[in-house]
Amino acid sequence: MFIGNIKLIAPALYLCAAALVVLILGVIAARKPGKGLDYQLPTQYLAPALMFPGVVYALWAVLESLIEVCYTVDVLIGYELVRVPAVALFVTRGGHAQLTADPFGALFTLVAFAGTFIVMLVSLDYFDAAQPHKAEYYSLVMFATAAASLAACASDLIAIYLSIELLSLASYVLACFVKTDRRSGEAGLKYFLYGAACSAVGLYGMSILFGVTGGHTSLSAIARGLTTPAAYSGAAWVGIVFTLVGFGFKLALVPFQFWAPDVYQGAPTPITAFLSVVSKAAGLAVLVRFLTAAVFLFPPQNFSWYWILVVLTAGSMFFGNLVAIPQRNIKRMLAYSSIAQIGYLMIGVVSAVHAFPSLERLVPRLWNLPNVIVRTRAASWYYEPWDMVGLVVYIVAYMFMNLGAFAVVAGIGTRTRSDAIDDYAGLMQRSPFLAAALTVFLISLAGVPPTAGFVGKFLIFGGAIQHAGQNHPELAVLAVLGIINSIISAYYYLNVVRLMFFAPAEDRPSLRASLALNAVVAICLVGTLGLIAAAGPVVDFASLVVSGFLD
Amino acid sequence: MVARELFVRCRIRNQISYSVMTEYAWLIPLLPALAFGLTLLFGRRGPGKGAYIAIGAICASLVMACALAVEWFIAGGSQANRGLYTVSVPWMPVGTGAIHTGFSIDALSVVMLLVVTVVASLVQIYSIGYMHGDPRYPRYFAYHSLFASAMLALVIANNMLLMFISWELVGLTSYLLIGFWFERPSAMRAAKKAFLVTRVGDVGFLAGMILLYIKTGSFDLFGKEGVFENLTRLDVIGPFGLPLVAIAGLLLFCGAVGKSAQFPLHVWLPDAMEGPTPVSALIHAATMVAAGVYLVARMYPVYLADASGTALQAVAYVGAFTALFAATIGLAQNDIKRILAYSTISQLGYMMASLGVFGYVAAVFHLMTHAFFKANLFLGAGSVIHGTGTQDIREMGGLRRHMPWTYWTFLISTLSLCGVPFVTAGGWSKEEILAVAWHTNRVVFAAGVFGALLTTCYMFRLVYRVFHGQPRNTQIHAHESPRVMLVPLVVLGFLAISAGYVGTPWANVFEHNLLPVLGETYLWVLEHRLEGMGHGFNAVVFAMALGAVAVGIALASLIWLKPVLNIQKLQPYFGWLARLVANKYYIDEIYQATVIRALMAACWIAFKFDYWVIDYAIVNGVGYLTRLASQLYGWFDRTVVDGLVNLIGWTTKALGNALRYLQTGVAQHYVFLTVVALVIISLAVLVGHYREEAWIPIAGFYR
Repeated sequence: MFIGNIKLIAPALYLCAAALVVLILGVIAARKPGKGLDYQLPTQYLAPALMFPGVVYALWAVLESLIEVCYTVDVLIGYELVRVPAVALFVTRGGHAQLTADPFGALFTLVAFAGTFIVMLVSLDYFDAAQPHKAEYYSLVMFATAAASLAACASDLIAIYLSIELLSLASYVLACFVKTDRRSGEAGLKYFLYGAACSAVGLYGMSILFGVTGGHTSLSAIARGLTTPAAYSGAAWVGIVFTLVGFGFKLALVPFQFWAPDVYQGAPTPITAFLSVVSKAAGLAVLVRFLTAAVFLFPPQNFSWYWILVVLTAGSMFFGNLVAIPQRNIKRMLAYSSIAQIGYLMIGVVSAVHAFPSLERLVPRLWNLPNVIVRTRAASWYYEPWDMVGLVVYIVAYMFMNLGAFAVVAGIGTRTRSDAIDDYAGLMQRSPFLAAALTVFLISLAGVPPTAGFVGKFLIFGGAIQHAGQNHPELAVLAVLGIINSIISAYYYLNVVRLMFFAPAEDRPSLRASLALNAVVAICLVGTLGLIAAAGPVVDFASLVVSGFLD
Repeated sequence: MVARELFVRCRIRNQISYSVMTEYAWLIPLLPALAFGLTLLFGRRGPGKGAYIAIGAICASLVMACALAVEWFIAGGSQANRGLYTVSVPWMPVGTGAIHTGFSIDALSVVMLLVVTVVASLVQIYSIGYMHGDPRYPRYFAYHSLFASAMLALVIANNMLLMFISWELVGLTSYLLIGFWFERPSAMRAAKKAFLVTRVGDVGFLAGMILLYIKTGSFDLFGKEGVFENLTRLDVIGPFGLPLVAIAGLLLFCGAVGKSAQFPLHVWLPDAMEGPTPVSALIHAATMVAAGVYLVARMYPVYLADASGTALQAVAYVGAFTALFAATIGLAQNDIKRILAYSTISQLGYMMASLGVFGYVAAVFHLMTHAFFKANLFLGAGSVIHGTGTQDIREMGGLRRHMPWTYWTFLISTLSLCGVPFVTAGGWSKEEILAVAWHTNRVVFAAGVFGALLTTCYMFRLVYRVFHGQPRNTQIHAHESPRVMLVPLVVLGFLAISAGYVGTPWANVFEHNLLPVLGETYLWVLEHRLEGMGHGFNAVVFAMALGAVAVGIALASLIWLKPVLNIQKLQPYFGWLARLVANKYYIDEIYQATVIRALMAACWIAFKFDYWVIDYAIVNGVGYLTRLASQLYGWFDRTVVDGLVNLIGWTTKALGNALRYLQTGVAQHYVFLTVVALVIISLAVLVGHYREEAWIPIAGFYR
């Protein structure tokens, strides 16, 4: 086995090590709460302090990956000389990489890391210093993030399943972390039950794929296996569909969304934020990689996974937005809203699959030229970057605006002991900064300029419409449905804004935000409003990232 | 890593290696900009009530500018042509291309950076004393920082758009600072006047800029695609039988006329003296008003590309006329700052005239020396005002004894302004201008010499009235100013003498470094125009300049120091002339009677038209009809359209309500529903699969 350029996934390794440090020091500190180590080096500060270098490291990994992706290496595995991309890791016989740390994966890693850093700051404000088991809490969050990072790079069914499972297991525990809260326990249990069912179905699908393609787990090998007539049977379809169930559960895509509202409402708010962004980013990266690397040769013209995704995309948008309207609890409302948001992101995914000219992309990877072990400048694969750019920009925008919204919700929830939307009435008088910030995040979620959400939606819908011209009217339909849904969503988002600004406050005291809360809201505000100012460079960078997208 | 590769690429493009200082020159305007924000937000709580933030920033910029000057003028001396360092980054996409922005460093920028930072830092230090106790003290320093930032950005901009933005920003800060004491109606009026009058010129600048952009397709000044490389595209005959490039030059010159207070747009500058005196020193004497000269100098290739020479002739004659015209007015004023203001206008006229007669280096040289001695004069005047509490020179007198430091520095700068040869900075630069004019245009030369005579007269009149003789108003108890105000005076006084030695005719470091700024093509044009002019010392010119100064001092001494000549006797014969000059040739009154009255009349007519025809007849009539129609529509809207809208809203809500019952809260139901969905999907897939039996996967492969 060829290990490859291990430093490309070093952020994840660093995070695992940091999580262990947090766990060990935190457990020692917890023996004497408020004194000694817990006083000198409180876990709730140690964890973000260790997380921040990870974010910087992940950023570096993106840049490094952008350069590395330009090269291939010829390596001797067994008795065979194979040429693999320089970003391939753990390459097994036949040139199949188990992890592919391409810029796309590295960018999702960065999103996961930055999101987790923000979630940690929210936790700092949400839990008090005497929170029990904080070592376990923070180290679980960090393990989950490392798993998300590996999932974003995984290009092998086993790697995918293991990383997603690690992410899920950590999430189950985190969802029921507040043991004193009945709802939290309920959330964790429901999440676990539902997740276990979906995971089992997904694993079953993977095993079917393993079987029909001749015993391969690597996505690239599956792609090759699926092109043989022997593999073409009803079983392959069922395998693909079942595998998609496992990913759909992570994304909370309709009809696998049932867990989301209950879990979002019951889980501690920082964990809700984590699930809605980091966990989803990982699921999205895995889905995109699975679709584009393993099954893209099943032509989308026929009734296939492509049409299923189109229907589920439209369904997610409509279901999320319609059911969000009657909600009275803001966390539940945001849960439905994030179901709808994943629908918008899925438009980017379904239009992205058209960007892959099948054969041409396979050719460079199938080269097995005998050569000495050298680094070679790889042939560059450029294709129309619109759609994937939209996806990449939107996930970044979504991270900022959704985490910002949850940060405000968490901050207000701890101070007013309520998540009811009605209690947001007159928030403008009680905390002008938080009210203004929440307004920005909500209009960004609704996709109103001049916010990041607008940029992302513009690029995603634009990409869909661009591709629709080439015999794919369904993409134009999806874009139109996305726009209609944006209008529907404005109703419940702006309802909160209306309450905050125009409803009377009923003489309640003003809220004092902590430094951590203000900082995290400010970070998200800068991201949400700054993305449109820097739209040009961001789009350039995103197209750089997706042009180096390897399968 | 990506960023590193980009940097490397920038460096390779320029061939010559530049120091880190040059590459980071964009920090120079940025620091005062940051100080502006900080002072504005936290000024009252900041160190020194915000003054130290502003001063710290400008001093840091000063240090960087000095480092740049060392690199470009002293260390670069051996390499002779350091050429140009420029960095562009895409700014906004336009059509198929993009507008770039960035900065460029060349000798001209470095000179301007140095002048602006030196004067600005000294003036800000001086302001600590002068503005002490002002209620809006932090805001004053914030504005100063904004000004410094905009001015510095103007001189390092490498494209016209950024130049124009900075140009307007300095105009804005000028407006804010003139009207700084906005409780005084006169200050408010003066600020408004300055803003509006300069705006008249700015229209020309904008039009010239757009003309250049349309024809060359770029706002960038430098580079293959830039304006200067593509000026031949403007070499076609345009309106008035002039080549387009001359039109562009004239339009740009309009901007310069406004900003540099040249005739006929000079009227705003004397009124601008309503601002605090340090502001007058920095903005309305040393730096901002010189921006017009800088603009013409920066865009000099445009003027050189004009083979007909029309634009430069206009520059020369407007400048020469202004130099004389303002000098005569200066003779008859009694407000110490106004005299200096007219002197500024006159000296800016010199610079313009110099540019007009191909004295490119001389003009920039005079700009630099003038900045130092004129700033010193204004700060000295400020010191006098601070010490006596009045601006009227008829109430002063004999201040020499009470304010020795102020007196001596003021005298040194006066000599420099008069252009006393060999010993003062102003001498070297003014003689350089006269030498070029002697060679190319004798009319301008004559105006220059006569102007020098007048300058000496009015300046020595000022000095004698203020510092010599006996105190005329016994109510005033003059006192010397605090040390924080005197230190800048001394430093500037030193510069008013020493700054000239970089440009002596024998070892002209200044010219040597500045000329390559024009680039090879235009340098050749300029040298061709100045063909035959000897380098070095021109004894005739020096003699005439010296004579003018000597006659001026003698006349002034005889009239105002020892009243041997009694000018009162001329009253019956030349009284009308004195009145004419004292009233500034009635220019303001003429504008009032013509332009402003015409404008007001037009406004009145427009107002009446608006009121009676538009509002009454059309709008109200239409409004009446509309109301009728709208009542009909209203009914339709309420019943049919709203009904539909409500139906959609109601349906949406009802759907949402219906769908939420799927979410029962029971985990078993969830799994059951999911399995149902999965079965439906799988059935759909399988049905689809067997309907498409004829399909062969390999067909998709070769699609």
